[in-house]
This record gives sequence, C-alpha cells and structure tokens, in this order.
Amino acid sequence: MIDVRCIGIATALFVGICCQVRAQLPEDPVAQAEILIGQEQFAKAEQVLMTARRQQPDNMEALYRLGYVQFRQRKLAAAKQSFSAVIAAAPPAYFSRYFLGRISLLEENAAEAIRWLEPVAASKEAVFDAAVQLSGAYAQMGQLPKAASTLQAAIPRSPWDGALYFRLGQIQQRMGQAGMARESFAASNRLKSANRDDVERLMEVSAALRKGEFAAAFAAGGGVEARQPADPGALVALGILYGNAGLDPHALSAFEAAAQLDPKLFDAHLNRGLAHLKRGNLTAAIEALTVAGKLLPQSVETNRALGLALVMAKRYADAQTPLEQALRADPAQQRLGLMLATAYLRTGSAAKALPLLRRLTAQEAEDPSALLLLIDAQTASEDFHGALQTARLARRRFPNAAEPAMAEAQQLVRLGQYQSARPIWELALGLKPDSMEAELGLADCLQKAGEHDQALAHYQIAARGRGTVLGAKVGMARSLVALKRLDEARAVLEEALGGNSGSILLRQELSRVYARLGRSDLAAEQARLVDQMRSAGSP
Amino acid sequence: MTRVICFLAWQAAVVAPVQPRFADIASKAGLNDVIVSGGMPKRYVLEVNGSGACWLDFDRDGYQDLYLVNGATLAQLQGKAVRNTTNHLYRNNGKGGFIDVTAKAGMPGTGWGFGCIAADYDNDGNTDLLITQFGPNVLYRNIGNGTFADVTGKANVGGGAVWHAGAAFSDYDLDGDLDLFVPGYLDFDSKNPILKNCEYRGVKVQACGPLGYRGAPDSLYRNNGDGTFTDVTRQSGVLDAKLYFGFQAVFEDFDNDGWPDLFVGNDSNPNYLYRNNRDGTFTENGIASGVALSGDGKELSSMGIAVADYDHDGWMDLFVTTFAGDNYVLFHNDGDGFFSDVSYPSGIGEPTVPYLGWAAMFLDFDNDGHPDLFCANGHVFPEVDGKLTETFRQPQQLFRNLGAGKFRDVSAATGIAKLPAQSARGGSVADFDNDGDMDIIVSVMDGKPMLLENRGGHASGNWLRIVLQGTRANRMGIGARVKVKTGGLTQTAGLRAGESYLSSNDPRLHFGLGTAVEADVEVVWPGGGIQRVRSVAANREIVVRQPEK
Repeated sequence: MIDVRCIGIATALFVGICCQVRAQLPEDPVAQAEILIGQEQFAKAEQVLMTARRQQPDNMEALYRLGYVQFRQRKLAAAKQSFSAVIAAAPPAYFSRYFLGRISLLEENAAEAIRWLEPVAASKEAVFDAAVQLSGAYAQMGQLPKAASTLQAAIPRSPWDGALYFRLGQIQQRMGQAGMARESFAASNRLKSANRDDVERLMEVSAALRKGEFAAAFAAGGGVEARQPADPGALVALGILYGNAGLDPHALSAFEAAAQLDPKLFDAHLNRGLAHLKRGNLTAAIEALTVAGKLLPQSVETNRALGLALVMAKRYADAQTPLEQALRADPAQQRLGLMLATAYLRTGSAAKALPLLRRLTAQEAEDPSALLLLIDAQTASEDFHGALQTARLARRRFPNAAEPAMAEAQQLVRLGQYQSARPIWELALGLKPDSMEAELGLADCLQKAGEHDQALAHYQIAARGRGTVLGAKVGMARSLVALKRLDEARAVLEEALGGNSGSILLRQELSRVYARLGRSDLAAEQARLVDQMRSAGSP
Repeated sequence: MTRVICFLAWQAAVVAPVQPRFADIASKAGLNDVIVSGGMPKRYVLEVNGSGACWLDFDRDGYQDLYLVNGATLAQLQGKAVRNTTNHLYRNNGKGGFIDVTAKAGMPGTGWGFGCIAADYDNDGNTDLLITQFGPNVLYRNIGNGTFADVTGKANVGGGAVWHAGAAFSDYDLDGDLDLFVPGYLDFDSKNPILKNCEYRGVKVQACGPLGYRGAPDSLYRNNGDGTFTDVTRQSGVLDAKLYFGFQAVFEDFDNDGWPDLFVGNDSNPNYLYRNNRDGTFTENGIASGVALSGDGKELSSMGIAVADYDHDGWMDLFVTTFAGDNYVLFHNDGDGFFSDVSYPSGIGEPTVPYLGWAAMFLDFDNDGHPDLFCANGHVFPEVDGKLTETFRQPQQLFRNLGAGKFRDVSAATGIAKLPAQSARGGSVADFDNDGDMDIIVSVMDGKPMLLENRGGHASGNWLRIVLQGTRANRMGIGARVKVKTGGLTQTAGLRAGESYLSSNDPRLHFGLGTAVEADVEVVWPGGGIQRVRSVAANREIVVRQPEK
C-alpha cells in the first residue's frame, strides 16, 4: 500500500505528497524522487525512478511515482503503462486507478474514466479528489443525477471542502434545480470563508476518527464548538464527521447548535432531522425535516427522509406529498416507490397505488415486496382475480419465498377455491415451517373439506401465534362442534373470550355451542351481546 | 320362464339409469310474455330484484297451472306512463302447453308485482293466490268458476305502502287455517328516488342497495277463519325491530316438535330463525341455531331459500342462495334445529362462488330418492359486463345429490349449462306435464321465462306423487310432514306454501323411488294425527285425505 502523508489545505487538489527540503539527496531512489517531485523537477525524478526500476523491478513504490512524474509531464502513454503495471502487480491500487481515470479524462474518454474512478470513489480510501473527478466524468456523459449523487456521497467524508459544494451547485444548476444549486453555492461560500483554524480542526477530527482516536477527535471538535461565536457551517461539518463515525449523540448536538445559531441554515435542519431519524426520534425528525423542507422544498433527500419518518410514524396521509416529490425527482428509486405505495394503501387510496406498483413490479427486484404490495392494492380494489394472477407471478419469480405462496393461497381462498388453496398452503408451510398464518390457512381448508381431526391439529399450532390465535380458536371450536365434542368447544371459546371479549365471531360461536349444550339462557345472552356489538359497529 | 325374463328385461329397461336432460320449451308451451323489471339501464335497486312464479291447479283439472308475476317501470309507478304489462295466469291445457287466461280470471295484479304464493287460505277447496307488491299486496280468492276476486281489503292483508317480498303461508297456531307472513324489503321512495352512484369491485354502478336504505317491516297475519286476517306481528314476537331487509320467508318445523318455525332470509343482514313457542309467539334464535350467518360468521345476502331433508336423517335442512363472490350456503340440520354450514364439504360451496343466486329448489330430478338442487342465477349490475369476470347474464346450475351428504354439479350433463345465460330471478318446480318427473319454471328479468322440461327423469327411476287433503288441518295440508319408506331408505318431506324466491312449488309432493316398486307412506298432519298408507305402488299419484276425526 502506498503511504500518503497529507498536510495540505482544503483547496489543495493533489494532497498526497510530503514536502521535504533537504541539504542533499538521500541514497534511497524513492526518497530521492520524492524530493525532486516536491521541487517539481519531474524529468530528473523520472530518471532516478527509471534507474530504480531497472535495479528493483518489483519496487511498486518506485513504479507508482514513475507513473506520477510521467503524468505530470503529460507523457500519458508511458504513465498509463506504469500505473497499469502497479494495478496488475498490487491490486486494487486505488491511487493508480485514480490517475488512470485522470488520464482518460484528459483523453476525453469519460466512459473509461468512469470505469477507473468508480471503484476508487466507492472505496473507503481518501484518494485525492476522486469524487470530483468521477462526478466530472458523469457530467461529461450527461449522467447528471449520478454526477450529483457522487459529490453528495463525498461530502460527508470531507465536509469542510467547499469545492465539493461548488461542483455540486454547478451540476444542480444544469439539472434545473435552482433552489438546490443556490444552497450548494451558499455552502461553498461559507466554507471558503470558514475560519482556517476550524478547517484544520475539522481535518484533525477526520484523521483522528479514521484512526479510532475518539478522545483526540473530541478534543479537536471541542475547539470548533467552543469558538465564540461558533460557525454554524463548521458545526454542521463537525456533525457530519461525528455522524459518519457513528457518534450520533455528538452529531446531533452539533446540528442542533448550528440550527440554533442559524435557523435558516438548511443543512443544519436536514442533518438534525436525519440524525433524529437514525435514532428513532420520529417526532423530532419530522419537525426538523419539515423545517428543512420549507427552506428548500426541492430537496430530494429532505422529501425522502421526511416521507420515511412520516410513514414510520404511521402518518400515511402526510407522507404522500413529500414522497411524491421525491419520487418525481428520482423515479427509479424502488424503495421510495414502495413507501409511497404503502402510504396510499394505508389511506384507502388503492387506485393511486395501483399504477405506481405496476410500474415498480415491471422492474426486476431482489425481493417480492413490490409484488406483495401490488397484491394488497388489487385486493383492496376487489380485483381478486388480478391479485391471484400477481400472486402466481410472484411465486414464479420467487419460488423459494414463502410469502408469495401464502399470498396465492389467500387469493384462492378469497375466490372460494379452498381445494386449490390447500396444496399452496402446504407448500408455504414447507418453505416456512413456523408460519402460523400458513397453519391457519391450511386448517381452514381442511375444515372446509370436512377433515376436522386434521384441521384441529393445525388449528392447535396456529393458536400459538399472536396474530392467528383468534382465528385458530374459532376454527377449533367449529371443528369440535362438527365432531360433537361440545364441552371442549365451549372450553376453547370461553378461554379465548378472556382476551378477546370484543370479538363478535367468538360470541357467535359461543352462542351456538351453548344452545347445543342446552344452555339456551347463555346462548340468548351471547346472541344479545352480538346484536349489541353489531349495532355499535364492532368488528 | 320366457315371460319372467321378458318382464325382468322390461322392468330393467323401465328403470335402467337414464340421464335426464332439461330443455327450455317455454316458447313452444306458449309462455311468451316478457317479465318486466324496470327495464334497462338499471338505475335503482327497485329494478333489479325480478319477480316470482307459482304453480297452482286453479281449475282443479289435475294439471298445475302457472302464475307469473310481472313488475313495471318507475315511470308507470309514478303515473307518468300507462302500465301495459300485467301478471299472467296461464292455464295448463294438459297437452304440454299453456293458455293465458289472466283477463278472464280477473287477476292481473295492481302494481309492481314481486312474489306470489298459492294456498287455499279459506279452506274452500280452491287454491287462492297472494301477490306481494311494491306497495299493497293483493289477495285473489279463487271463486271456483275460473275467476278470482280481489279480497285484499276484506282480508286486511294489503300491508300498506311497503315493499313486500317473498311471503309464506302456514298454520303457525295449528288452528286449522293458513296464516300469512310477509317480509318487508326496504324503504324505497318511488316518487323521489335518489340516484345513487356506487362502486362494485371498482365498477361504477347505480342500482346499489340494500345497504344505504332503511329496511321495511315484516308482518305476520293470523287467519281469523272467516276470510279475514289480523296483524299479530308485534304480539307474536316477529316484529323485525331492526328492520332487516327481508327477502324470502319459509315456514318449516325445523326442530321436529310438530309446530312450524319460521326462517326469514334477510339480504345483507343476519337471517332470522323464529322458533315457534307453541303459544302463538315465536322466539328469534338465528345466531344460536347457526343460520343467521355463514359458517365463517359473515352476513349473507340471502335471496332464495330451499328446504329439504337432503340427507335423510329426518331433519329438514336449509339452502340459501347469495351474492356473487360468496358461496351459496347449505345449512345441515344437526338435530333439534341446530345447523352447521356444510357448503364446502357437500361440494356446493366452490362452484357457486362466481354466481349470484336467486330461486332455489330441491327436486329429485332423476327419481333416485335423493333431493337434488337447482339454482337460478343472474347478476344485479349490468355494468359488470366486460369489466369483471362476473357477467350480468349467468348460467343456471343443477347439483345432483350423490347421497352421503355430497353433491356434484351436473349442469353440463343435464343440458342446464347449455341454456342461454340469463339474469334469472324467481322459480319453482312442478310436474307440469304429469309424466312423473319434476320440471322447472324460471322467471327471467327483462326476458321471457324458461320452462325447463325434464326429459327422462321419469324413465330414470320410479316415483310417487302425494296429494294431501286436510279436513281438521288446513285443506291443502300445508305444514304436514310426509315420510316415504322404500327398502332401507326413508325420505322425509314437508309441504310448504312459499319458498324458493318469491315463488311457490307444486303442492303435490313428489318422491323419486329409484328401483323400488312400492312404498309405505306416513303423513303427520299439522295439529296432530298420523296416517299411514302401506305398500303404495310406484308411478302414480295418490290422494291422502285426513280422517274427519
């Protein structure tokens, strides 16, 4: 691995090389070359390194620096060869990949540049301005959303780097996101005029956190927080660094402080909202993200996060507008689409959910969530045949998942096709042996076929599940009645009534059983309660 | 020896299994009048429920005549158009055809007709007819000379401005004359009807209901024995305080205590089962008895009702047709009037889910001794065509009773499935041609009726037809329980007036005997008294007259 020591300032583009001035060149050719590079004597450095290569062909440090000096002299073909050799011998060699990407850009081959730079940007390594270069390559290819998202991903790693915000603003402008661009340029200006000490402290925090030296990180960060007055932009940057390191309480504290100092600072509200969301503080997250949303309504990230928070808080009606806005800006986002579809379904707007879900399910997916939601939407619209077709499609696409099988069985039951549903429930049980729902479904099919002993066995298992216990107890009672085991049926129902006194179904069955046991008084009482509950609109 | 072999061969030929088939001979038989029910498009719930069909031998010539109830249009009801349709009384000519004698008989109906029941309410030996209507009912008394008189006012059974549905006669107090129960459906304002716009499974429809409307009250009329009735609804305990949407009622002794109980099929509400307390009152027991709701605890859109002891255990079972998407429900009487939903184990559940059912009749169409089941189907929303898998016009269904509590759909094998799909409503069974097998009349909404002649039923098995004549009991023997024993099989049937959907069946009880050539008959008369007739030869009609004392 190439060891890079960096002492550059925020605006430095090529922070990778130490600068040392010595009275005389050291004997080590790599060390010699480093000094000459620092003095920008690239041709001399090249000669030293080529000699070193001849003497030590396996010296990758020499080879990498050879490539660098060739690059600086615009000897692009030679540089390509050198960097390629480093990658071949010592992969992944992100720094070499970075320069190959730079060479591709100089040769106006953006596609090739993307291929070199994508793994570099995706790695955890801090490799110069790889994100900026990659973003530029995307922008050259017209892939503006990717250009923007690359920069947005890079910002948390270097939140003090105003150049990232500036480039981002340019991309957003090209995308017609005037409001977002304004905000990015403002952030860039704030950082450009940021206090130099703050910037240095932020870089110290970043370095310390990378090494896991939390005490040192907090000490440096404390300096940013203690400044009077503190810089809200710097506090946001500090919060981002803490957040990336998983130090959520510290991150939140920095964001809250920034928001208090500058109530109109979008980034402060967005980030505190995100921090609250991460910690599960939904009310606070919604409050913060709502403020951010008012400051910058076009912010996709804000809308997405606010939508998610509202869905998690079960405020489905409120979630729809931010999710719709986020999805309009990024229609390919499956998860976003699924959240919005869920919000529609939970507010009885199956008609709105259907076209969205049809679009989502036309795409390949890793799991059957979208198809299962489509089934829900079709069922809510009473398109049971359509729901059955979708369930069958889900089962074809995901043959090893239990949920599509259960969905198919449920639809068959809805259509009254218990005989056909039975083997599908059995299949679902095979795929998910602990599924109480499948046990209950199978039990019902067996009961409908008049196979009451078998039905009982499955009802008894299903009765262990919290969501299936009521259905299972009622089912057990019905089968027991059919088997003329009336006292057992009564016991099951009376016991179930303890935790389900508001269940009309239980009381109906109990009335029947009491009547058969000759207890017409108790039967009449249960029937009277059922009548009362029905009139009151009980479930 | 040769003669014996020839006889045996002939006997085998007579009773060799023949697959009966049904053919629609309505047009050939002269039943060519369209049954009106508001017309198209269907904008109001009033227009989608159709009307009934009743068999009665009004002229006592031994052949069952036919009365088809007709509806009207809203414009006619509002007085904005002249009513140009009537109900129809068709006299059976004994040769497979019918002649319209409505005008001569003087029984056209007086408004928008729904149901009919044929019964001798005044015990004079002539079968009378009650028409239930939107608005006051009409009671036609059979004068005996081929004409009828409207005696509604005198009888006091008009019922006022209520939408009356499928009524039933029975002697609930066992005083020897027939009392009357008339369910009320819903409160529809025909003068200022509200056009509703609803959605049915995503399809916009207009003739929605009954939910969203107020229900109409039921009525029980006790026969005073002098041609008049008294409204005893409140004091008898059948008040329907919840104003459920009553569609069809049936009297039958479900707990075998000798007293007729009353089942009321309610649309989208729990059904009622009123147990006769034997003192002039009833106690509603639907939930406890298990017939208020389906076996899954769901409210049913109960339309038509059929009653029979389909499994020969001596207890009368119930069958109810329901809405599309719900299975029709077969309630097995487990004894003492407690029921279990056996729709699915019996084989009837699944095939009926896609359809919307109305008239329902048990009939032993193949004379094998097991009552089979016919359902008349048709949707209420024409708007579903082309938009859903359900259709407005639907095939009819026939289920053969296989014995051991199982049924099989034999609609295809019997030609029923080949009939044109219809939006059918009322219907009833009768051996109209007296050939020894049961035929079916189906009233078709906005269309001509279907008269489904049973071809081959009489050749498929031996039969016995029993006509009851009460003396101390009501003249028709309504409420009697008849057992027919052949070999190891005992069939039990009850005589009812008012069943299926808005309709009345042939009052002569038909029993298929299979290969048995004789049977023992036992009649338990309403009010008491058992009469037995032994070793009755098959393939004939017998009259069992109750002894005077």
